[in-house]
Amino acid sequence: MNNNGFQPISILLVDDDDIDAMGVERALKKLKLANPFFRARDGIEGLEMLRARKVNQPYLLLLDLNMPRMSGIEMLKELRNDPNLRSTVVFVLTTSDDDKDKVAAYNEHIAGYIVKNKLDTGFDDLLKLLDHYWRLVEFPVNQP
Amino acid sequence: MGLYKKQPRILYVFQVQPMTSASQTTTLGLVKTPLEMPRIFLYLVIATCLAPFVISIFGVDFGSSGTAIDLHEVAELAPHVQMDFFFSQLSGAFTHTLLEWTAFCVAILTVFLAASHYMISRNLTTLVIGAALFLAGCMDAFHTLAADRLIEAVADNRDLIPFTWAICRMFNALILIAGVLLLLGKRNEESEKTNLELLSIVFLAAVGIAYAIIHYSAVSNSLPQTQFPDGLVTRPYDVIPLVLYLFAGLWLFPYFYRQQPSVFAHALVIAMIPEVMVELHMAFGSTSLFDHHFNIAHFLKIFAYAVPFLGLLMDYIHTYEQKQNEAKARELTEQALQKYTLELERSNKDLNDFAYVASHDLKAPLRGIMQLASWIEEDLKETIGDQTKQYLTLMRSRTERLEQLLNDLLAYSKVGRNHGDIKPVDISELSEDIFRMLDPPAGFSLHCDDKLPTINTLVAPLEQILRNLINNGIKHHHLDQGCIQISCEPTETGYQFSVTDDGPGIPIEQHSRIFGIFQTLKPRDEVEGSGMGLAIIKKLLDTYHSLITVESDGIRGTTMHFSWPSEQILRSFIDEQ
Repeated sequence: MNNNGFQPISILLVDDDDIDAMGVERALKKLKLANPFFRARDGIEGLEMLRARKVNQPYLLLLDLNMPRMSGIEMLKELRNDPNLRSTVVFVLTTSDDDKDKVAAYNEHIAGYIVKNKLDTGFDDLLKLLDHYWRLVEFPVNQP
Repeated sequence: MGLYKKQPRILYVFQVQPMTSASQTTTLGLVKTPLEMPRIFLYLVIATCLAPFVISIFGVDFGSSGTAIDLHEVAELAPHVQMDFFFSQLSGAFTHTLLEWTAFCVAILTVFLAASHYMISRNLTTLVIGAALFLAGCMDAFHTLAADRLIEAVADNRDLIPFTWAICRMFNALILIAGVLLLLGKRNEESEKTNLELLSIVFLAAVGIAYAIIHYSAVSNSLPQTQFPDGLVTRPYDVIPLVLYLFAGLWLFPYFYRQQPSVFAHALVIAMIPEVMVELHMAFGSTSLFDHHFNIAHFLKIFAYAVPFLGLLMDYIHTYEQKQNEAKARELTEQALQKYTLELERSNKDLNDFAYVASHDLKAPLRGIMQLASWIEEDLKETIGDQTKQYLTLMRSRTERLEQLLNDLLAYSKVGRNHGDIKPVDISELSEDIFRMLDPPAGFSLHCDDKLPTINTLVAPLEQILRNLINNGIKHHHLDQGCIQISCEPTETGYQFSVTDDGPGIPIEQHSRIFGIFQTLKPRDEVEGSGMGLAIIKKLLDTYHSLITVESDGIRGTTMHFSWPSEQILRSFIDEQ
């Protein structure tokens, strides 16, 4: 049932910071990864894109927490309440290393919590990790 | 350590500064009522004292001496007429009794009011003087009862009344003077209970003495002559109390009033006016029982009792007003305090929120700058010169420093939010772990005292404090080798820790600022540091009501002493929140 081999995993980055978006794109290019890359600037835009199926399946979500309009935690709650989106694989990617944020995020069943500060060498490490991740980890089967 | 142990060391103690702000102080509406009787009262007293004398100038006689009548004639009369006759003959005695008894009643009222006044004000003056007046009143009462033959009395009333009167007056003057002297000589060393016990013993003894004197006089067959109708001084015995009252009124009581001002003490001074008038009427006027001056003197004596009584009433009102003012002031203070507390809580919360938000929101653009700088470096690796490379390196180090400052500010704002758990911890093991984790240069060593205990405590904050102190000892050392010593002594409320280094020391004039936020003693380009280490320690210790002191002569070596609460006290802190 592994369809990962056939279709590359899309990345949806939900982050209001343009430089971070550039960083992810830069790392993708640098590592020569051809995964489709999508970006939303806040939770509302992210949800719209997912619900309008603008993001190719299968996908994983890189989610910032501090954003205008709808924060990352709020978007997570929306996702988990939406029958079509509740199985989305989400990595939180944020500057906050506050315990409260970590607990709130893991309570919404995220795959991992990554603090941006620890990424000294840009997003290269993150993308390398994700590359390994989608090679090894089975993704949920999406409902039609 | 032995090298610099002999050098003078300055101990600097830091305590939580009371926060004062001019705009915060509320003016309390305390109205200070004057500590004296109203002027008009004094004038009324003088007027009343002079009134009988003035009226008598117009020919009015206040005397009540019955006319001498042949008893044989009376025997002929009808019994009810006889009775009327005797009553009219006794009018002097009745008047005397009524006047004396009225004075005694005022004395009773005075002592009750004095006692209740004392219950409110805890001021011994009213109690002592009230009791003294009551004693004098009691003696007057015994004198009256003896005169009326209601208690055993054999002496002739013509001798008994003037003699015991003079004794009573002397007793009255002396006991008032004794009371005031007692108050003047009173030290505050004795407890309230001892004061009261002593007072009650003296009081009961004085009642006994008063009764004994009157009883002795009443049953005595040979009382000395007290009335000299033909002399200039008609009753010389009354000269003694006159002198005593003059002494009290002109010197002692005014002195007492100046020493311990109160409305009551002021009234006591004024009361000497009728007392002196009483004695003047008696000593120089009265020639026989129940005559004009005799009655005036007895009337004025009531007045002499009434003045302190009224003074006591005024003082009572004064005390009540004062208590009310105090209550009002307390209420105002409480309101101000509550407002202040709320404001403080709000501003503390604001500060924490600010530090949290600032560190987060400031970090995002900072990270952007770091990223862009590294991309530029990456993309232009081949083409840029050494100068530009150096600039980029400097840019990176400055942005990293800023990030560190923000992280430490965030850490500072979080201090006290989480206590962590109470666990047993071996101080020596903990110190060694910290030392190892800090990865000090090879020349540094850690020396733990032999008797470092294992204690049950909040590990996280204690570890943070020790880490910052040990780190400072290593980081700020001027040599490439050094020794850090840790000691811990149990105290009454917990433990006293000391962390000593043999570094360059901290100049005495810097001791007060090192615990502020972002304070460093050297430029950050020389020694990298945010200047938050000690500030975080200070805030942690403040949270647990502990103190830190710095001991250093600024030449060599620094010892940081800090107290740390016992497990029991820590648990009470946790329970409070």
